[in-house]
Amino acid sequence: MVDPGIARPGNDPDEQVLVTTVDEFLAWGKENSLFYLLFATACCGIELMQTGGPRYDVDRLGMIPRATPRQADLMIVAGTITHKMASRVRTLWEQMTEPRWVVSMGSCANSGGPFSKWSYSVLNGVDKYIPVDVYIPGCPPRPEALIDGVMALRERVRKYRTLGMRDRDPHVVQGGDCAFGSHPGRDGACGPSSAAPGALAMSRGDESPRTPQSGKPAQVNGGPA
Amino acid sequence: MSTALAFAAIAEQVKSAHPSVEARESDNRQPWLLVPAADLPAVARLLRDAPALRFDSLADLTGWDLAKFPATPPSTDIAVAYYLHSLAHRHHLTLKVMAPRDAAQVPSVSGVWAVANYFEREVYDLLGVAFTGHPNLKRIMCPDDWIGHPLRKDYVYPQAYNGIAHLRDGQHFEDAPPRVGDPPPAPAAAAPAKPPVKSA
Repeated sequence: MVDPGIARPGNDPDEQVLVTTVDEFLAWGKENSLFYLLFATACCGIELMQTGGPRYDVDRLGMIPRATPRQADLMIVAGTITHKMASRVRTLWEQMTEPRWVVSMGSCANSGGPFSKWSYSVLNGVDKYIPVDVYIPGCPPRPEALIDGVMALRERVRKYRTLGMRDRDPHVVQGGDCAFGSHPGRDGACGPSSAAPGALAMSRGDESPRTPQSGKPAQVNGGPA
Repeated sequence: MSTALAFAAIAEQVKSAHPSVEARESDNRQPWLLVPAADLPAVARLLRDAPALRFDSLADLTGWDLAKFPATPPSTDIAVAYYLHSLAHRHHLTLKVMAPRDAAQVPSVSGVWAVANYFEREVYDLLGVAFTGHPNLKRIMCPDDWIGHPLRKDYVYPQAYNGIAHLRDGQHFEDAPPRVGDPPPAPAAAAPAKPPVKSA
């Protein structure tokens, strides 16, 4: 017989009810299930694999690698992106469902890295093509740095409001994204006026001008390299 | 018993059939055969099919731009080099073909060694050598709509590709290579002459 007089954990109705908003509940779920796209183009990919391996084990953060962008929430751009590859990166990014997040991992994805000066073929920063949420410096960054960037991203995901878009921190996603129509509800926050001089329209049917490198993205470990 | 031939013996065989081929030697590199472009297909077939030669493997096919290269005599040609190896006889050979810069045309050897197909596409892509008779001569590394051939010494860097500016906002390099639209460079002081290197 269970003595009803003895208090047991979970018996109290107050302990079984959690009161929150739908938005916070959704954000909590998204924050803890950041499925990332298995996508790497250079040596940063080795560190990305390490991060997914048993020693660092990002599975414990709810980060499960996905082989298709349609099931991924997060794209970790790990490695050098050439001009030729950039349109493929953009295609992958377009196939991801909202809300989608991008981490630029390493110097090459941040700014072209060692290729930024003399290379004719390397894109000087993947943020020229897709909006980036978090930059991680390093060549390549260690798995600890990648996890640090992921933790910074989780803070942004926590602040993301699926329903109450007007509540969003304007710095949650850098300003360059709204020209892509990435996050509805933020149109007008920045526009064609902020487009870089000489920026051309996308040749893939996108009529909106690009606004590269605007806004204030999050920085970890002292900012983009 | 080894059936490998020394360079002199190989050169002798080739020159007896094709007198226009020249054997070149240098102190600091492998000897090579300088082949006129028009004779290349016949020379390639001879090298592959002659029983004593049997160069059945094209190990590499590459090229480079001789402009700004300290060659003697100075040249602005595009050099194309063929590195051959014989798995049957265990000997090897280097061929070189010079293509004039403005009308760089070399007969394709992809019908002799099938692997030359991709090699020649690479040389075409980066150096602009048109391989006549190639079954599928198009770019292999750069995008199909890329302008220019990047490994030519007079290549002008693009300012943008596909609407994406090449440099970041505020990024500039004083000693960077010239790009489309740059102002003409100021005349620079004469650089100290480098000792000439003996070369093709």
